[in-house]
Amino acid sequence: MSADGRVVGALVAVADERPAPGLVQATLETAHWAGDQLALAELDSSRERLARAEVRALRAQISPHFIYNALTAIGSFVRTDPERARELILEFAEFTRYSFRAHGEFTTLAEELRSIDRYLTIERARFGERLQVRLQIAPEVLPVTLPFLCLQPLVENAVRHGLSRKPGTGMVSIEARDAGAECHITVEDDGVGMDPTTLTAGIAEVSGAGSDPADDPGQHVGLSNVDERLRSAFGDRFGLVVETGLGSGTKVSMRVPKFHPGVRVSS
Amino acid sequence: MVNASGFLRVLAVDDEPPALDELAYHLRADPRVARLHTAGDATEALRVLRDDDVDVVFLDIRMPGLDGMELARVLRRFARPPAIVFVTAYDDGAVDAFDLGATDYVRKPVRAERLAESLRRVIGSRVVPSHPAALARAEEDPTIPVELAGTTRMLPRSAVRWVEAQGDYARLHTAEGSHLVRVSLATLAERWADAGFVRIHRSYLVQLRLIAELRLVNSGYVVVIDGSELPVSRRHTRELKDKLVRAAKQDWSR
Repeated sequence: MSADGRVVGALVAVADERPAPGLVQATLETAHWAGDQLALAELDSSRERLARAEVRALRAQISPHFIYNALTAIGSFVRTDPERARELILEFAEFTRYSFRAHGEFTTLAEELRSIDRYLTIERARFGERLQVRLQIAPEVLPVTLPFLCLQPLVENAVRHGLSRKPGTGMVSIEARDAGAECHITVEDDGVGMDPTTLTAGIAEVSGAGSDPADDPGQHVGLSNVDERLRSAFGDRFGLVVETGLGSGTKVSMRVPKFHPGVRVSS
Repeated sequence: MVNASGFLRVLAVDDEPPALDELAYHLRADPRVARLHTAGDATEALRVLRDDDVDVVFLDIRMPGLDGMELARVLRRFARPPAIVFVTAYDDGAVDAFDLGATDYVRKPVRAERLAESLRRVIGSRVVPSHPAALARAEEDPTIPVELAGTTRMLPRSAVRWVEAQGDYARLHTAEGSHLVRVSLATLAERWADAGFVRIHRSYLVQLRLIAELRLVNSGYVVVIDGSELPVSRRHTRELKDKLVRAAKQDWSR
C-alpha cells in the first residue's frame, strides 16, 4: 500500500488454493483504497496543523509599526499627560497579552471586541480626532464563538485603509447583528478602497503583499488568513465577503453560526 | 517660535499629533534651532515651505496623501532644497531614504540625543543656503560675527591668527587687521582648543601652526607670529613646548 508515493504498509491475502483472478483484483483494490484513506487522513491532520500554525503566526504578527508608533505616542503623553500615558500602557499590555495568548483556537465575540476596543484606544491616542469609530453591537450576540483573532485583523485593515492613504478624518464602523441562527458582523471604512480587479482572483490576492506598496507585508495580516480559518471552522459557506471599489471605502462581512458542532471556547 | 541664539530653521512633519508634539518639543529645546514650524501632512508642509525658508525638514514616512518619501522627492527639485531627516517607526525605508539624498534617518520613539546628532549632521553636511557666508563649512570653520564701522561681518575662524584679551573683550588678529568681540579669552581658548588654538599667556591665544619661532629672550620665551612677538608666560611654557614638539612630530611622520 502506498500513500503520496511512499510505501506505508502491505496487505496480505491468504488462500488455500491458487488464488482466483477475482481475489487478486479485490486485494489490489482494497490496498489502493486503504492507501487513499491513509493519504486523506494525513491531509486532514496536516491541514489542521497548518491552521494551528496560521493562528500562531497571527499571534506573532503584531505589527512593528504599531508597536513603535504606540510607544512614541505614549512617550509623548508621559510628558504632556502622564495619567493618560499610564492608561495607555495598561491598554497596550492587555492588548498584547490577548494577541500573544497561547491557548485556544476559538474565542467569544465579547473577548475579541474587548481587545479591539483596546487597540482602538491606542490608535485614537495616536491619530486624535482624525480617527472616528462607530460601534454597533447587539448584546445577544456577544457570547457567540468564533475563531481567535478573526475580527481584529479586519479592524486593523480598516484603520489602515480608512486613514493612512487619505488626508482628513477616517471613519471605521463595526457592527454585529443578530440574524436568527447566525450572527452577522461587518467592518467598514470610508477610506481609499481597493481595486475590485484585485479581488477577482479571490480574497487571497487582496491580502498579497503587493496590493498596496505603502503596506508592508508584516503589517498586512491579511484577509485570506481570516477567510481560510472561517471556512475551516464553519464550512465553505462562511467565508468573508468583501465589497470595495477605488475611492469608495471597504466593507468586509462575515457570518458566524451561533451554534456549530465542534466549535467552542476551550478554557 | 524664535530662538535668538539659534540659526537653523526647521520644519517637522508628522500626521500623528503626539509624535509631532514630541518631535517639536525636542527640536525646540535645541539651541541651534532658531525657528520651528510643524505640519500634520504633506499639504501643510508644502504651504510652510512656500511661505518660509527652511533649512531642514524632519519628515515622517507614513502619512496620508503624499507620504514622506514622495514629499522628499518633491523637495529635491526645489532650487534650494532643504536637508531631509526621515523620522520613522520602522526601518523599512532606510535604503530608499538615502537614495533620496536624506541626511539622516531617525527611528521612533526619538531620543533627544539622537535628534541633536541629526542636527549636527545637517550642519556638517551642507551649506545652509540662506546664510551661505554665515554657515559655510559650519562644522569645520565656524564664523564669528564682528562689528566693523556699523556693519556686521562674518569672520571665519580660519582667518584668525591670534587673539589678545582686552578686558571683557577679545581682539581677533587676522592678516588684514583686528576685530574686537565680546567674548572672554578663556571661553575662546576652551571652544577653539580642537581647532589648534593654544593659550600661551593670560592675555594671548595663538594658532599653533602659525608660530614661526619660539625664542628665548632675557626673562622668558616669546613666540613670533606674523612678525609680532607675543610673550609666553612661565606657567604655559612647558605645555606650549610639548604641543609644538607633538605637532612637529605629526608633520614629519606624515
